[in-house]
Order: sequence, then structure tokens, then C-alpha cells
Amino acid sequence: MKKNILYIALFAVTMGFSSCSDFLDKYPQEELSDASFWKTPKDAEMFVANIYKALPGGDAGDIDGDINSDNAVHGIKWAAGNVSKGIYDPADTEWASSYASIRACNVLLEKIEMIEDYPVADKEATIGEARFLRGYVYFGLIQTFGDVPYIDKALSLDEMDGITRTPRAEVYAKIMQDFDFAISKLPQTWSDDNYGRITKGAALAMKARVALYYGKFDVAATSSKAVMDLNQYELFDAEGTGRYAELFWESQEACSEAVLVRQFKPKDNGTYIIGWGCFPTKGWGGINPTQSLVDAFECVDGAPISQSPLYNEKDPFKNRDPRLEATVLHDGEVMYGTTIKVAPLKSSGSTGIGQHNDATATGYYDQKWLDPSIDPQSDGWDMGKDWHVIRFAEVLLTYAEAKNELSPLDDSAFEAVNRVRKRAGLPALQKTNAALPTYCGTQDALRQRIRNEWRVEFALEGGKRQWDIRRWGIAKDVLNAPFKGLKYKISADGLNCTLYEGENVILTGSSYEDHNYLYPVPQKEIDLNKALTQNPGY
Amino acid sequence: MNNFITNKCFRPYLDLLLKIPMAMKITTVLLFAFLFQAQAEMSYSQSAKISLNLNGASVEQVLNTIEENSDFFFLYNSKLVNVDRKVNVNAKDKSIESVLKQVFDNTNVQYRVEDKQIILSNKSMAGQQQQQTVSGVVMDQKFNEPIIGANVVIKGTTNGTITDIDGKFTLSISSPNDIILISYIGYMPLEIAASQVKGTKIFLKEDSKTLDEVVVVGYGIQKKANVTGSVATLNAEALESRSVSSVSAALAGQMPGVTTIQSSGAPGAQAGSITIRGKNSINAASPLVIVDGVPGSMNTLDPSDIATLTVLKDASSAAIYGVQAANGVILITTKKGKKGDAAKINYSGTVAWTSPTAKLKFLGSADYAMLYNEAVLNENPNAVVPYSAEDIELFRNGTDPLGHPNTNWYDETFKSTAMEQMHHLSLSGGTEKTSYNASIGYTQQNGLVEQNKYQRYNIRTNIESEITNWLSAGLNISGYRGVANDGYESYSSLLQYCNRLRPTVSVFTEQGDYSFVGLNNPVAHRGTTGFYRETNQQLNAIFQTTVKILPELSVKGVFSVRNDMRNKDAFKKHLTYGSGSNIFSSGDREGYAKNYDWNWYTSQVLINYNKTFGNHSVGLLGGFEQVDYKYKYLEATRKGGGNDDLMESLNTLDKSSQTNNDGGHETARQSYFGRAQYDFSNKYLFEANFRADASSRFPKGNRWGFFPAFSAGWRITEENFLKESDLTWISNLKLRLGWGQTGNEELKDDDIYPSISTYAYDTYMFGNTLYSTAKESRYVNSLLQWATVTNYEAALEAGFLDNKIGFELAAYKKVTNDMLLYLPVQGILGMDGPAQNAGSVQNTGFDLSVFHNNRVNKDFSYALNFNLAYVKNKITDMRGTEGPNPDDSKYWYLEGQPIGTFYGYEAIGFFNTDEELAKQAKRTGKEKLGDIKYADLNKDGKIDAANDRKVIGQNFPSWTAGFGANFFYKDFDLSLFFQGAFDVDGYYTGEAAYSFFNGGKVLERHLDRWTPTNLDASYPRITKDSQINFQTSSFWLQDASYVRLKNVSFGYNLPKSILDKLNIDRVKVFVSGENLLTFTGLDGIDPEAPSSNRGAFYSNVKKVSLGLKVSF
Repeated sequence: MKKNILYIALFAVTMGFSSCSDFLDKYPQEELSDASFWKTPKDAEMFVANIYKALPGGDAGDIDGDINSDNAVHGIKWAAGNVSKGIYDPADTEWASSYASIRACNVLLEKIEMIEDYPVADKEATIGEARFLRGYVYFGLIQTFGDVPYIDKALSLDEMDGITRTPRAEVYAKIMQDFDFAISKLPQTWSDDNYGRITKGAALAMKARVALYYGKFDVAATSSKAVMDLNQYELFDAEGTGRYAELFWESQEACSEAVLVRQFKPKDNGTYIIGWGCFPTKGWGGINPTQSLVDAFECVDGAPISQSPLYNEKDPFKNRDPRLEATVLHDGEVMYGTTIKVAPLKSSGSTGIGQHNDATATGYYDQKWLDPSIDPQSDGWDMGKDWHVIRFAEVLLTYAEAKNELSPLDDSAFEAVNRVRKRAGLPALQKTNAALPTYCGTQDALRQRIRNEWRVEFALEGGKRQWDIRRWGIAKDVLNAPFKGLKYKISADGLNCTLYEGENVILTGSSYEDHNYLYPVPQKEIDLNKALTQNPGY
Repeated sequence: MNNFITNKCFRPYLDLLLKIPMAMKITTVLLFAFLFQAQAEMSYSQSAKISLNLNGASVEQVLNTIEENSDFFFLYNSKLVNVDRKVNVNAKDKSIESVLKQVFDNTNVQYRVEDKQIILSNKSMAGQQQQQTVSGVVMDQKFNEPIIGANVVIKGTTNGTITDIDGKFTLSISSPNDIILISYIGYMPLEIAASQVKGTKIFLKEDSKTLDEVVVVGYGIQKKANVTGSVATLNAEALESRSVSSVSAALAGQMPGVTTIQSSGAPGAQAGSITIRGKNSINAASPLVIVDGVPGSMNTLDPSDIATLTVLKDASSAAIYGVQAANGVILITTKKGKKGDAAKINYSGTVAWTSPTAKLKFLGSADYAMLYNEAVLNENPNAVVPYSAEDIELFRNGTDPLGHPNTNWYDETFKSTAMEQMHHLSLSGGTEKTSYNASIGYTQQNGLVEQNKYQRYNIRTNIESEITNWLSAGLNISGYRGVANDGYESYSSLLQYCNRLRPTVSVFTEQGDYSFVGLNNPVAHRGTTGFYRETNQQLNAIFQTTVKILPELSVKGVFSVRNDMRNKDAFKKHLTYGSGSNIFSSGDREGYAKNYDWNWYTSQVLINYNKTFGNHSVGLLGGFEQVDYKYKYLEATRKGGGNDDLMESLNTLDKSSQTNNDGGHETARQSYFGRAQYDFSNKYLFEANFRADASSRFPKGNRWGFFPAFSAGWRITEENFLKESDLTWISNLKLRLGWGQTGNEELKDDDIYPSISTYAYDTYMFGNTLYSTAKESRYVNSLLQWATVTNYEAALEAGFLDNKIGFELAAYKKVTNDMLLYLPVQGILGMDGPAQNAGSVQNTGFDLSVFHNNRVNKDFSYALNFNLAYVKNKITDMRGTEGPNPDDSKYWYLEGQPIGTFYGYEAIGFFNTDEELAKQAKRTGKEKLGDIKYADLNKDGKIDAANDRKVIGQNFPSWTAGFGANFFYKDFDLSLFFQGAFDVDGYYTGEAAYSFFNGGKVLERHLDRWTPTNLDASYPRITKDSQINFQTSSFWLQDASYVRLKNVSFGYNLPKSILDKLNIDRVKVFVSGENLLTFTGLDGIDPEAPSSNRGAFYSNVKKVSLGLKVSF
């Protein structure tokens, strides 16, 4: 017995030795490894689908992008981004997250070759998606930083030393190549269960957007015209029956105006837009339109408020472009059963001007996206409305702007911008009757009208304007002008407040210097790679 | 080290009696019963008459019968007197003498009747014909008092007796050359020639015991005197009068170099984080905890189950645990029974009342309104102030409670004290071959709101048995179930609401509804939000068996299976309140159930060889260990629908919303280890340890790591030159030197497979349906290995005057190389950087403990212990990637600076004048009078992040100290224990620091804000929206050094005279306090709270407890 036990003990020790290599090989149970992945077309489709997260609407902070422009300020002081405070900090960045998406595109382009029996058209479409996304992400990079390293392979740690910034024009050319490939290989539509994937139309529209940003008006015009000629897209409520607001409600998902969307669905995949944008007691009250945005909406006669007899500054929401009511929530409106009161008196509760941090800073709230069929609180701010990455109105305005630049007062420019105005319920711009307020007699007059159309049509829709004011060269003027909220006047006894009289609320706004056209390269990146240079002025 | 705890000789005299040798069948109860009754009646033996009629009964039965039917008591040693012999006894009204004659005639047992006490001993086997007897009195040398129950045996025989109440003994000897061995617990054994015993007093010297004490070390035990590594021990007595629910909390301040920080007093979370001799790595984790030989958990043990706790502080002692040992090792053994001991039941229990040690002090409505107005004007001089002078007056005088309330939200929401109780019941004992100990413990802790509470049940059974003379086996089964409850919105959330909601809001509206003003009303959310419940459960079985192949050689096998389970259940009720347009709604009901399951299978084979050849002693240990670890989880959620009365089942919620998740991971480790010890004459000590470890986490080619350690000791007091000198006051002097290496495999928790390139699943949405996606999830570093910590140590141990006073001083240097760092990588890589072996950290310091024990007289003794530790922690290499901690940018990793360094601007007062404002360097250019002014470190005229920040503090103390004092007077004992930490900073933000933070309110300290007439303020100009002053700067840093009376307890042992009547061994009652006094500069924040917090944190608690201990 004694000996047996000894043998057992020795056996146990020996077993320990002999079994050790297998015993120590442990593999993840929730993840695929290189050995099991890149086998079937499905693998590539799954992989490319994940890169779609680079599109806006998610957590990237792009929903409230207008706080970086003169359209809005942030109602929640602590949450306000630096840019809206006029700080361009080399610590703030989307640099790394952009390159993460680019790496994924490059990995896909390399590894997709490992998959055997991949039908050519399907494979090329998948590559097209990846190249579109790579181009899209690079556009974000050059728009923000100018020259950036152009990486078109999956880097390893030892390949990163000494990489330098590629001139912006070269990156632009690469982006265009990616888009052109995507345009040629992507289908015009996908099956219903693949709705949300990039289409030929989306790739064309994105190409137009990038070309317009860099003043390539011919490319912008051609590409946007190509989208229009697909005859696939039309404005929602194109006839202008007053349903513009619904475009931002869940009831109008997958409508004809959607060129590219990022899809959301409550519970599975909700978006936070409504929580962020909604007024206090229902949400955070995070996005507060400025007086300057409110004033940008014309009167129903098609005249700017400064020129329209219909404008009454004591009743400023009357007789205005209907899009104003769809965009800006103001005093006296009833929303979600609450009557909005913004006067800075105790009786207005938590929605007064500057009453506390969650109240409106300007006297106005964001109303776009406030879907009346939703109870923002019991639905937990999980909204299902798809985020418009590109909607057809952009294609029309891109075409109008590019055409007017190429050929001043071109009829097709009027036609395109007027389609957008018609849907909104505004009279068409024209160059024939100088007596009407819609008259545009010069290229610049039309240019200013189109620019205003960009502003009011896309107000509070993810920060288009911060880039528009850069490419138009007006950022310095509009961002350095005082930011204002509505006018109000408190009675001598302090008990009553009259809105739309007295003095405007004065806000600390943004600021801009010429070098802010580009953002600073993150200091961290420069610290890690001395070959990276900083943008001028930082 | 911790001498007042381990030195049993300073326990009261009566305590010693409890420890009468096991083999004796006398219980102290009987002895004392006798003592007292002896005084009452004098000549019982002569008057008592015995009647008996027993046939074929054992001697033991006879003696028991006599004891039951008379007042006689027998004292004997069962090893010397055969009580199993069968006898026939018939007596009627006979004297005790005649009965005893019947029983013991013609045996070797002799008896002596001294009144009611009858002492049985055996006659010398050899000396029947030439029998002689010697007698003597055994005395305590110091107090010249008799020692009762001392063992007196002739050396090399079983012939012996014990001393009576006068310390007297009489013993048969066979020759005057016999050596008599006298021993008694707590005294040095004495050998004396029989010829010298002539009825005189024989004095025993107290044994201070520290040197013969045995300590638990890795995979074994060693005589403390011969230990060459740095180990610190704590045993059960140290926990005796502490009302602590976790072992870690009890460790605070007890051992030099062991820094314990108990950050919270929350129910179920009163545990400390332990750092041994500084942080070895920026990922530093907790020490390895080994319970009864296998990996265990410390904070879920019932402290009452602990027999000893040993901390292995240096590599010489810890290297045998290899790759897991870099942060030190804590070895815990649990209580076991003793072979041959009578069954014994112990009960201990405490009831305690707790209250927070700190809370933020917010201002009332009037001051709030006044400062609010000031903040409005500071930010916009033209603004209309919201509060009129009349408002403020109404707030101040309280005459308009509805219109102008002054609500103290904290008081409205929370109770001022909460109750806790702990009970522990154990049964222990043994037969000749088997010992057992079984216990059950119950802990209940209530929080400051009703729904916040914790309950824990612990069980533990230890059985050990000698099956044959060469085979023994043991089984150790333990488990616990702990249930922590809270509201769906936790205590911390309620506290957060309290810290935010302004006092000018009343709890109820005029209509009697809970008021809602856009910020959550904590009173309305208290107990109404649903529940959160976390259940933790563990079952651990350790089976071990030892085979003695030769007397010197044994093989031990250990197998343990441990399962930990955690369930998290929660249900969110639908809560709505408020009135008018101000309605709070919590939205849809939600619930989840999450189950986590961890399993460890540990196998060990240990071979031990110990042999002494003359002056040479050799000890060898060889071992193999493997640990297989598996983790699985399952999570399910639902949302919507349901009913607030049905909270326990997810099935009540909307099925279409359900989600589920599961996953897990596995790791494994295999190790070989060994130890060789050699000592010469107990004088020169050498030890070598090694371990080879292989971990599944590292790439195949880099799996094995080798960790050696060497140490040596020189016991100078064993040298003849000292022994023979006049320096007898030096009782112990030992010099130790050690060198060794340990390892560290601390990767991030989720970095289980750092060497395998993988793709993880995720989702994106197409066609309004979630679509499975895949992404590259890991950048693999194929060169990855563990970090190595190299430790150098030199120490001196000294004891003087019979070890009444002494110290231990150890100096060390630890160097961590190849630290596992997630080095920042360039963004263009497009992946998070992998862990890389890079970077070095160094800890240098010393540990000092000084003790003094003294027994002043029979009634009074005391023990004092002071310990002090200093550690300088320094990052020596970051591979050029110094920078902010990605998780909290207040902390920076900088070469030459410790881990946990605060980095920010240096505040140099306020902008006091327009001239200053115009001329001095500014950060934004938007500064106003009364804003914080920063030092322009590079003197370039502007304050910028790149050039004007510096190290401003650290969050880990350089100095820690503990001081304990224990006093024993007769049946009373008093102990005080102070603990402190120094050279440490706290950085508090949010509601705990800033005025009107994020719509919040103001603290008392904000009254001393900067105004044009108060330039010497402690707070900048008051603001409510501006964040200009909130940059990380030395302004917000506070000195978090502290000294705290960690524990004070006062106990009373019921005197034996009472206990004997109750037939109880011991009753102690005590009153004890934890954290009663704290000396610190912090305001409203507990100094042990996390060094960066906003005040919404369950603070440490003061605790006053009543305790009871009973043994019978």
C-alpha cells in the first residue's frame, strides 16, 4: 500500500510533465482566430459591415456638431466641446479612431484575397464598400488636419517609425480613386435586408460632397447630376405640403430622400439624439439654437426678415419659413405635454434662460428629431430614427452651388435650389422679376441665397455648417461675431418678463483665427513620431 | 513583529490555564470547582463515604462514577495511567482510600488523596524493589507563585505526574540519577536531576516564545528563528476584539510595509486594498492570497475562522510562488481542531452601530441664494439676480417653509446610523488520531438606507486524521454565501442626488407630491426604484494526503476544487412623481439576471525531506503544481411591460425586448518549485528557492519563466562569544540577507489571450435588423513575457531582556524590469497597442517594527508595538512614453516619479488686481479677477499645457505607521490601535470641490471665496458655469495624510468563580470602536476614500460595537 501511494504520487508528477504543452494551450471561446476566419464570403461581408461604424450618428459626437458653428451653443456647460468655446486643443482628436477604420479597410483589402470561391461581383462590391469607407474616413482626416499620413496597408509596430504626412492633394486624389472604384462596382440598390449598405448613388453623392469642399465645382456638379440622373431619389414631400418636420421622425424611415443612412432601432441599437437634444425634464437640453440661426430663416414671402414686411420682431415666429418651427422649439410651444417657458423667472421651472445648467442658454431648444410619437423619457431616449448620412437635398444644393459657381445664374442651379425651397413651402428664387424678394440678379446674390439654404435646410443636423463656413471663408466673420440668444426684458419689480423685447442674451461664443481652418495634429501623435509636423499656428 | 499579539505569555494568567496540555483529562473547570469548594470544606476525604457496585467496568467509568456521586476529583495523565483496564468494585459506605485500594491494588498506579483532589500517578516500572520518591514545588520564577498542573515526568519514561494547586508534586524515581523534566505551557521546560529535587522550590522561567514560534511559509512551516526571508504574521488574537467583516480591513497598520487602505464602509464592501512594499508596476494588482495551501480569497473569509496570517514580503520568501508573487503573498491558515482535545464550542458575536466618518458639508438655502446671486453677477455683471434680498431673508429665517424651504437633502434621505452584527459558532476537538473544527458564521450589515444591506453566511470544516502511522489525510471544506442588496438606483446615486440638489427645493410640493425640478429628488427615489442584488457564493474543497516514506521523507498530495458564483439581479420599477409640467418618469421597467461562474482546479504534489546530522540540518522541498481556471458568464435582460409588484422574474417583462449574452475564458498554469534549507547549529542559515512557471497567457515559445531566490541568516546570539559574554541582556540578534526574483503577469483583465490573433463579433444594423459583424480584436505581440521583480534585502532582528523589547529593521530595494505596459502607439497603427515588456519601476524603503512587552506583576501586563514603513516608488523607465494615465488624466506616468503622480499647473494664488491680470501669464486670456493664477514655469508669458505643468503630488503614501498598545489588568483588557499614512495627496473634484458644479450647490468652504475684499481666500471667485478654474492644478490638491484611531477595545473576562458555577470555560464581553477618531486636514472626505472622487461615495464608517465571546 505504501509503495502504491508512492507510485501514484510519482505518476501524478510524471503526468504533469508529459501533458503540459496541451494543458497550457487555451483558445478564446468568443472570438474567431486567423485560422478560422477569412474562409467564406460571409466573413468579408461581416468584416466590412463593422467598418460602417465610421459613419456619423453613433457615439462620435457628430449629432451635436452644430455647437461648433454659429448655429447653436451647448446648453450643458460641462459638455460643451472645446471648439465651441474657441479652443483648438491638440489633445482633442478623432485621429486615432479614423486610422482604426482605415486599418480595417486595409486589412479587408489584403485578407479578402484569402477567400476562395468568391463570386467576382460580390467580391468587388465588398471591396467597393471598403474603399468607399476608406475614402470617406480620409476625407474626414484631410478636412480636419490637411496633410495626413496616407496608409494603405495594415501596418505593423515596426513599420511606423518616421512616417510623414502626405500632401493633402495626394490624399484627395486617392480618395477620388477609392470613390470611383466604389461607384463602378457598387450596386444601385441592395436587397431589403441589406438596406443601409453603400450604393452607387451614395458613392457619387459623397464624391460630390468632397469635390465641393475643395472647390472642384465641375466634379461636384457632374457627380451630383449623376445622382439626380439615377432617378432613384426624390425629396420627401417634394410638393411642399408642409411635412418637412416628419423627415426627422421614425415614420419616414427609408424614404426616397435617404441616399445613405445609419440605421437605428430602439433597444437593439438606439440613438441618443433625442436625449441630447430634448429640453430639460425630458432630456438634457444640450443643443440651443442661436438668435443668428433663428434670424436666418426667411419669411414666407421668400424675403430675409430684414427685408420682409411680414416680419414682426415681437412675434417673430409668425409668417416664417415653416422649417423654423420644425427646427427650433421656443417659448409657448407645447411639446410632450409640457408648455415651454423660457423666461428667466422661477415660474418657468427648469427651462428658463440660464436658470441652471440644464436650461436653455439662448432661449431656444432644438426641435428637429423630437418625434411626437415618442415619449423621450419612458423610451429611455432610445430613438429609432435613422441618421441621414446623405439625403437628397444635399445633392440638390451641391449641384445648385457648383453650377452657380461654374456658370453664374445657370437655370439648372435655380431649378435645383428651388426644389428644396418648394418642399419647404417657400417661393422659388428667380432672376427675372427684380420686384420680388426672391430675385437673384447676380451670381453672388444667388450664391448667398444658396448658402442660406444650406444653413436653414440642414440646421442642427450634425454639424454641416462648421465646415461650410470654412470652405466659404466666412468662419472668421461668423464665429467671432457675438453669439446671441433671444431678447428679453424684466419688469422693474422683477416679477414679469417680456420676451422678444429689450436686450439679447449675450453668450460666450466661439472664436476663429485663420489658422483654425485646420485643426492641430494631436500632440500625442507628434510625441510618438517626430516625423509628423504640426499645422501652422499651433 | 506584532509581538503583543503573538506573545501568549502576556495574556492573563487565567488564559494560560485554558491551555493546559491536551493529554490531561482534567478540565480547568473541574480544577477551579475544586479550588473554590476546597475553601469551604476542609476534611472531606475523611468524612465522605462512597458506595459503589460496578462489575467489569473500566477504571475510567469507576472514576467517573465516583466523581458523579461525590465531590472528589481525579487528576491524572492518561498517558501514564491506564484507565481502560476492567475492574470489579464493590463498596458500601467505604472511605475513598478503601475504594481506591480495590481499584488500583497490584497495579503500578499510585494515588494520593489531598482532600477532594485525588492525584493518580504511576510507580516507577523498574523501581518496584528500590522505590524512592522525590517531591518538590514548581514555582513561577518571576512572581514566586506556584504553577498548577505542570507536567513532571522522568525523562525517557512514561512515569510522571502533575503538580497540585500548591504546585507540589511527588514522584517515584528508580534512581537519583533520573532526570526529571518539568514543563508547562508558557514556560521554558526545565530538566533537573532527581537528586537535586529535595522538596524545594523549582522555578520555571517564562518563555517569551517568539523564537520557538512556528510560522507558515510557502508550502510549509518553519521555525521563526530560522526564517531567512521577510515574513510578517498576524494571528487570531489580533482579530479578537475587532468588529471587522473582512480580513483585509483588519490588516490596516498591523505590519510594516503592508499598506492597507479601506476606502469604503458600505455594507458588504468593507474591505481593504493591500499593497506590499510599494507598487511594482503601473498595473499593480493585489497580492496573491493562499488559503490553506491553495489560491483563495481573503475578503470573504470569516475573520473568526483565521488561525494565522502570514505575509511574505520579500522575494526570498515569496519566490516559491513564482510568477504570481511580485505583489507579495498572503498565506492564511484556518483554525483546526487538536488531536485528543475534548470537544469545545466557541461562540463570538458583535453588534455594531456605524455612521459615516465624513460627509460633504453643504450650505443652507440663504447662503446658497446669496452665493448664487454673486456667481450670476461674477459671470455677467449686467444680469438680473434671481434671488432678492427678501428671498434670502426668508430662506434665512425659515418663516416660509413652502415658498422658501431650506432642505438638508442628506438628512432627509439617510439614517444617521446603521446596524451590523456578526456571529460565529464553532465546534472543535479531536480524538487520539483525528482532529476536527467546524464553524458557521453570520454577518449582517445594514446601510444608511433601508434597501442597502448585506448578509453573509460562512461555513468551514477542517478534518485531519492519521489513518496509519505512515498515512494521514485531511479534508477542508469551506463556503460562503453573501448577498448584497441595494436599490436599483444605488446608495451612491442617492448620495449623488443629495450632493447635487439645491437646498431651496422642498422635498414635497404644496400639493404633497414629491417635488421634481429636473434633478432627481433623492427622497422620492429612496426605496422606490426597484432593486439590485448581488449574490456571491463560494464552495472550496481541499483534499490532502501525506505519505511518510521514511521518517525524514514524506510526499504530500493536494487537490482542490473551488467554485465561485456570482448572480446579479436587478429590476427597475416604473417611478413617476412631480407635479404640473415638472414630472419625473423613470421610463420602462427593466430587469436583468447575470450569472458568473469561476472554477479553479488546483493539484499539488510536494516532497519533503528533513534530516539533521549532528550540527547540520537539511530541509528539502520539491513540488509540482498546476492550476486550471475556467470562467463562464450568462447575462439576460428584458425591458418594458411588467408590474412593479412582480420584480423577481424577467418573464414578467416584455419578451420581445430580451437579450442574452454569454462567454468566458480559460487559463492554465503549471509550475515546478523547490526549496533547499541548510543550517549549521541553528547559527548559520541558508536557503535557496526556485520556481519554474508556465502560463497559458504567454506565447508558446516564451511560456516558461524561472524565479530563483537565495537568502542567508546569521543568529549572532547563538555564537559562543555572545553566549559566554556578559551581554546576557541581548536575547536575540539575527542578521538576514536575501536576493530573489518574482514574476508578474498582470495584463488587463480582458487580455486573456494576448498571443492569439483574433476577430471578435459585433453588430451593425442593416435592414432594421442587427447584423453580425466581425472586427480585428487584438494586435499580437509575439515577444510578450512576464515582468520580473528583483528584490534585495538586508534585515536585522533584535530582542533584549528576554525579548521584552526588540525591533526588526529591514531595508530593501525592488526593481521591476520588463514591466507589462500598454505603451501608447501611434494612431496610424489603427489598433490599441498590445502589452509590451517595457519599462522599469523601483521601490526602495525600509520596514521597522519595535515592540515592548512587560508583565509588571501578576495582575498587570502590557504590550506596545510600533511599526513604521517608508517606501519610495519611482518609475525609472517608460520607454519614452511618459504621459497621462489613459483612465484618469490627472495622473501621469513619469520617469523619476512614483506611480500615481498628480500632474498639473502650479497654483500661485489669485489674480488680485487689474494690473496682475493684465501683466501676468494667463492660460486662456479670459481670466477675471479672483481666478486662479498659475506659475509660468518656462517664463514665456503664457500658461500652456505643454510647458507649464509639473508634478504636484502623489496618491500613494510614502510613510505608513501603526501603533498598538494592549493592557491587561486582572480580568480586564484594553487595546488601542492607531494607524496613519503620510506624504499622500487627495484630489477632489465635482460636487466635492467646485461651487454650483453642474447645476449643483455650494459647500461651507465656499463661503471663504475670493471677493475684492477677501483676497486671502481659500476658494476663487464664485462661479456657476465657468470652468476656468477647474484645470488640474495644485489648488485642488489636498494633503490626505492622516492618523486614525483605527480600533479601541475594552474587554472584560468573567472571573472563573462565576464561570465555574455556569460550567463555562470562558466568557468575555467587550466594547470596541473602529475609526472613532481621525486626524486629517481633509474636509468632508474620508482620507482613505479614493484619492480622486466627487463625494458620492459610501464613506468609511465609524463603528461602535458590543461583543461577546463564550467557550464551553
